[in-house]
Amino acid sequence: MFEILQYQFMQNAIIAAFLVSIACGIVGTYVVVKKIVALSGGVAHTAFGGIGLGYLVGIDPLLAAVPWTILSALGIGTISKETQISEDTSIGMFWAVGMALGILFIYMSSGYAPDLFSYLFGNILTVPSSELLLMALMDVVIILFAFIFYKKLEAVSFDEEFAEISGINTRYIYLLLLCMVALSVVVMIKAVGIILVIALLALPAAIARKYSSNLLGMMGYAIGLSILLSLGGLYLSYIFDLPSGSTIILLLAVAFVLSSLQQKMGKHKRVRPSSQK
Amino acid sequence: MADVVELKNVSFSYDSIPVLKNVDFVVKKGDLVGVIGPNGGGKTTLLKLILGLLHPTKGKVLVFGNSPKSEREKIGYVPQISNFERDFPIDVLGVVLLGKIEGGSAIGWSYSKQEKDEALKALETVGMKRYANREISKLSGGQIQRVLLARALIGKPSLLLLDEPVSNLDPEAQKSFYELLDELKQKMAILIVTHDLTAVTQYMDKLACLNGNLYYHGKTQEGIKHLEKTYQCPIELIAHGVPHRILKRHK
Repeated sequence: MFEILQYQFMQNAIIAAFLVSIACGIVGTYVVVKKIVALSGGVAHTAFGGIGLGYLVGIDPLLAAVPWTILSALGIGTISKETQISEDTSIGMFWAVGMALGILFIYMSSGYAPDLFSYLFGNILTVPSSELLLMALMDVVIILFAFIFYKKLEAVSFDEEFAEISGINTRYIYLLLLCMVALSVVVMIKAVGIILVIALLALPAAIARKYSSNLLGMMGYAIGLSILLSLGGLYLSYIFDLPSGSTIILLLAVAFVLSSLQQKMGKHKRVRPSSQK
Repeated sequence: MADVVELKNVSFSYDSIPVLKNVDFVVKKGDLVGVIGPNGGGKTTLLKLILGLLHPTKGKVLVFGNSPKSEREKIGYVPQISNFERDFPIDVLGVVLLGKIEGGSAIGWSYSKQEKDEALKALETVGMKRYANREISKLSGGQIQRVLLARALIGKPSLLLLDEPVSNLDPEAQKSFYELLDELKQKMAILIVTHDLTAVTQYMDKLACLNGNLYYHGKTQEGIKHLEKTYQCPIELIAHGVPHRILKRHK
């Protein structure tokens, strides 16, 4: 099987898997502990508007999706925190409007979008080197944010009220987190597609939660798991000739179910430490 | 010297629904004050006004003679346990250290040795040092409450605010929690919002009965007879060590 590694597309796919894993491991950890999975799903779908805009103005759709998705994330966050509209409702609105605009933009740009399907469902085998560079750049920004704001993000995720009392500008940190979600969505689009992004964001971190007792450990586990499972999915999709995005997601789901079962079995054996004073 | 907390004729409404009406309220140094009252009586609103999370519609809130926001560093806050996610991946020491981040410049994930020592000291004060590395999801309610207290203490507050700190604790854990507060009041003024009337009579020096208006504010013993007016229903009060009802039901 090693001869396939000499192909440029396969090398790019493997690099993409690593880049995607860094983004989804770090950001996914916050998404899971802060319970903003649905919100992140909404942000992911709005990205389609940016892809459409890219086709319309004739630039790389992934590049156009960056500012578009960030603005959408800030929009969802601001509306749900500052107005009477509930977060749930604003997610639904942005989700559908983002998709609708995407379709509209593509229609206006002569309606021909050759690799539209790969943006929706992902195709990790078709990531050009220019997009790898964009993905790497976004990973760097995510890592920087996660490092600089680690304690504040932790404080806000754990106990927002207390964080606010401690003098942290919690609104600002929350919006920063949503921007990180937006960036990670863009990194992941080419691997699994807009529609499946949410699984990559949520599942590795959710599995990692079971084996780690702090955020940093959880990020590490999630990154490792994601690398393992996305490369595994890539390999399976290659040998069975299946769509890569779906294969990766299904492999993630299987891993999640297995880890849940394993934990459930383990619980019966574990003796709870007696609570002493 | 300015009082620790001073509310001057404070009113507050949420979307034009009045919650507090013309409340005058003072906490002095060394006070251990219990604020009691029914749900919706404005207890948590009072705390949030003192914390500067809410601003009065009318009147003035002063903490150490200044606006609450500018004195936040001197305030330690212990929330209700139910307010946060217990399944969060963090250990006891990590929770306490979160009390050290102020708006400032804390970058990265590591804490200095000095910060860790302070956190361990705060944990020692509340008797939780040996659990420093345990994940909080594996603690009991009483233990979590102590950890949250340690988180508030690490900032060396001069005013400690607690929001129903014992509501989920068994009597034994409640007792030791109050005894701890009793020791702490040497160093700081303490304000507790609670439903726990027996504890109020036993541990608090002062009592505030809040139900929209402030019905009573002063020494605990005299305040007890205002309870029924505050709750607007008959109250049966049983104190620790007193095996019978100490208040007769009256109309």
